[in-house]
Amino acid sequence: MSKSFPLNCPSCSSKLKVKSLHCDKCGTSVEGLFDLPPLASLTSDDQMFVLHFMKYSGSLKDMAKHLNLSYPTVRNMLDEVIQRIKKIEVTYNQNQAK
Amino acid sequence: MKTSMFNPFTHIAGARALLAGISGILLTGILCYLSGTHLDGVLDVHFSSEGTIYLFLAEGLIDLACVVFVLSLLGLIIAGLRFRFIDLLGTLSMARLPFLVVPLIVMVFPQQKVLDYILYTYLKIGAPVTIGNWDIIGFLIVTIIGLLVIIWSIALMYNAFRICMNIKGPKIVLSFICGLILAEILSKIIFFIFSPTTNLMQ
Repeated sequence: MSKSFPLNCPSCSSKLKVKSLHCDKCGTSVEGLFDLPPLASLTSDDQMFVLHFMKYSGSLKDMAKHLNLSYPTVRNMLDEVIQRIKKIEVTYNQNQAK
Repeated sequence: MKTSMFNPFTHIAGARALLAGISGILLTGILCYLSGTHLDGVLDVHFSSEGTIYLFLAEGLIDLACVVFVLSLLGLIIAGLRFRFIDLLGTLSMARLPFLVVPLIVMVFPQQKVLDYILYTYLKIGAPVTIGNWDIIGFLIVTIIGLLVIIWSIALMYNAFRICMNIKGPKIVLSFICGLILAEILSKIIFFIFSPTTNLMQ
């Protein structure tokens, strides 16, 4: 069963941060408080969209063909992802400045 | 099912939609000629066998041109150059496909007798005509289906405009309503200038 990566706190819905990272190979653990990078803060659907966008060299036409969607639908999806990335970036930059 | 009936544009737009739309409009024109149905306005359905096949074919194309012209101008105002003209043209041409149903229904329930009856009874034009219950039932069926087709086409045109412009909220609804009214007025003016005889018949 694949687990989905949690982005928000199940209790108060705030953005989650990374507290611990672990190396599976040597067992080293790193502890701290890290912000998720903007791309990792996207939902899994948005991340898939960005991956497709990269794979098709940014060609919305090719993406539309592959996803069996119309060109304006894919372009609208891209506009929405861009809006969400902009919002995430603002929060990320604010956290970095603290 | 509901999505594909009212919003097929998530899957089809551009040149493919244009090809399907224009083919449908031309086929509708031929069926309208055979059944005596005029689509002489963006949201109009009238019955008269007056006119050549070229008029019937041109009517659908003129209706499309009026909607595309007005909604493109409004699109430029509200969305700038962010939309592709081919998407708007293609999706709006597909949005006229429901009108294909009207001449088919008129072929099953011919309206000429009822039209002659109305013309004689209310305008004293032509000869006296008597109509039976089946004629009235046929007239009601065609009227109801005609209205449903117009509503279906409006829903498709709205979704076409919304998807092509990618604008949400009251702005898109208001601009679409204004655009549709303006397109209807424009189409009526064009038909009045180029086909006054057909208009007087209705």
